[in-house]
Amino acid sequence: MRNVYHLALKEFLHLWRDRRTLVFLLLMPSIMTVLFGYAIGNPKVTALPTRVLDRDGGRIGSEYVEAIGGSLTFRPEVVEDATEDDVARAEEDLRTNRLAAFVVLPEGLTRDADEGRPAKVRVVVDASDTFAAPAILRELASTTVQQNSFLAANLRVRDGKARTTEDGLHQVAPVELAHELRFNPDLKTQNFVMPGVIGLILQLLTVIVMSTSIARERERGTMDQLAVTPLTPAEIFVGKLLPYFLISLVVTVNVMVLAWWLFGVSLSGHLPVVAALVVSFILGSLGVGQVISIVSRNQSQAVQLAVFFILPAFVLSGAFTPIETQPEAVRPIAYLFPLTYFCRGFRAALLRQATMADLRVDLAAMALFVLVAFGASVLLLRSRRD
Amino acid sequence: MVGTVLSGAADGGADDAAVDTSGLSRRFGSLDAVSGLDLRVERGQIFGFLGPNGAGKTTTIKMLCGLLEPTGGSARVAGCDIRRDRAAIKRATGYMAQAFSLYPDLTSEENFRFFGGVYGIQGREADRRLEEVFSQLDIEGIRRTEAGALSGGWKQRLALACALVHSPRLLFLDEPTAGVDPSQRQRMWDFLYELCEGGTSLFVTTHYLDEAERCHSVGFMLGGRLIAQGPPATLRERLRHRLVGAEVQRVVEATRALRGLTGVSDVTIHGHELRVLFEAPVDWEAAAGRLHEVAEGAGAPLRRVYPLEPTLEDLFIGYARGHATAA
Repeated sequence: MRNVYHLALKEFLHLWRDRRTLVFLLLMPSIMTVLFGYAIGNPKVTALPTRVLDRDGGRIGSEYVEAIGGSLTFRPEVVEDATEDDVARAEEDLRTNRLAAFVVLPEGLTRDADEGRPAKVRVVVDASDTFAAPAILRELASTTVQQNSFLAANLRVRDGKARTTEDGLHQVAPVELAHELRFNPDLKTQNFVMPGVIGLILQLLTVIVMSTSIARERERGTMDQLAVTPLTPAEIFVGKLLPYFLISLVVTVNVMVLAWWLFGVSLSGHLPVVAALVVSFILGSLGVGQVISIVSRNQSQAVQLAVFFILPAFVLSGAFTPIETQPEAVRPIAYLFPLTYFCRGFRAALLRQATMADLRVDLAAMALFVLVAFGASVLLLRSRRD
Repeated sequence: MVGTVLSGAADGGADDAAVDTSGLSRRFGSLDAVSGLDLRVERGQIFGFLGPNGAGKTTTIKMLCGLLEPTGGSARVAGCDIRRDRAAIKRATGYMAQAFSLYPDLTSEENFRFFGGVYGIQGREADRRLEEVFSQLDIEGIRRTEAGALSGGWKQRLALACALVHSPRLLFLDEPTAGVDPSQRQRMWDFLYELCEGGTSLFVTTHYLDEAERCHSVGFMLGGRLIAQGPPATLRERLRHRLVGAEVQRVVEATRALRGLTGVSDVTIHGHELRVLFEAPVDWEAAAGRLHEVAEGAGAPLRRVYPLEPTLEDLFIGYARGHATAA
């Protein structure tokens, strides 16, 4: 046992010398606990951007507005005296992901309902998010039920056709909720999850594989041998990146085909859009891997740093569950990770046939990431020489 | 032939030197790793760069190869300024690092072809160069062996082959024979001479002083400074008439006693022989009396005293000892 003690002591000495690993070991679990606890501790979709197009202007309309406004699920905006143009605009905003849903309160809703004629409230939901869509429908359904219970009770009792409110409730439902599910009408969960899973796989592959590459050269002492050759830092960067870029592309095609073949995931996006998303995401992630590799002294440090980057990306990016399930305070952190933009853009491209223009924000964010990671890598390679 | 024949006539004057530094310095924080180095290495020669560990040898080589930015002074390598013409220096020079620095999972041939490709040597030119260098260094038998599976001497030869892929005019070798058995060291030096005859200039650091004796010219580094440079024979001359041998049974007592003698700079033990270095040239016969007397007094009588031919090792130890006491 005494031998074991000395071995253990030596391990502690290694850790003590490698301060970065020590700090990492002691701090990371706490940071992750706090972050993930807030982010996924209570997965409930909240603050979904929802627009109410009020063409009625009557009592029922305002009650809907009130009910939606009072629910945590929605972040509502109300358009009073909405026109057909407003409805068309809402459709477009739904397609471009600015809205999760919109509700159309038709003209004459209050009057029809009061007079016992059937009235329809239209709910149009982006069903590509299979977590948010059911939550929206649930909330609106309960609102509608509430409305109906009042109306039914009042009408039936007034007309003497029902003795009690309960009686009346069974007899008629004057306000009908007519839902229209867009982009993923079967509410197929794989359609939401698989683009995220593909993002996760690419994230893991690219960052881990790239992060060890330059660290390995340094560990083996071959970095100096490379540095005396005419290769410039930019050439070393590109030469290191290229093989992993090509492999990542092959992997992307593989997993997309599998997702389509096994899970019937829709792959009907515009090819240039899908390609732009995949290429910019892979390049950005490989760039991050290179930065990690250059600042690491050896491969094990590189892998630790890579995990430190990948784990929060996995949890916060909305790959498995939409960002809307996280508290609003945590969400901004997600936008530090390219995976967030990729998942959002990839879903939009595959399920909503988004165009380049629709995804300009996500593409620009990822392009910026590529630029920063590439620039930092080359500068670091240049300065690390001395 | 390995190496490129010099085109000497093209550049003249100071550029005739393979390496020419002036006040070259490098600081790391508060440490002067190399300070005020004025070094000149002629073309077509083997230059031995000597000094104890931490003397600044590797730092100097790294600056000359463009791996490390100097913090002061200037240097020309193969006729090019190390600050301005880094790219040209990289093409004109080869570097063989102290630690084995090839890819262990690639075969010898793959390693060689990789470095060739990086210097723009490919296709038929690469094939030709491979045949040439591999036969010259006699490593054809390990062409398809993974570099990581090679033993010390073979690794060094392969590393030398890779450093030669672009036919550098000047080759830097940092401890090329460290950890290699004597017969492989011998082979390595044969190759180095062959290279030198082919017109390549060589800049070699070594810990083996018998190897230093084989260099055309050597430089001694100590504490980041160059304290001597010149042909080994010239440097050894400095110790002529300063070195006296003494044979004795009880070497430890005798050494202790002789070191205390005024005028004696150092005493080193070689079996039953003591090598006594005086601070200034002496007549050995005149000195013998004092040596006998002191040793006798310490209870370690000398059997005989005789003049010694100085070696570089004597010089090296003398310098290193002087530095240690001065520090």
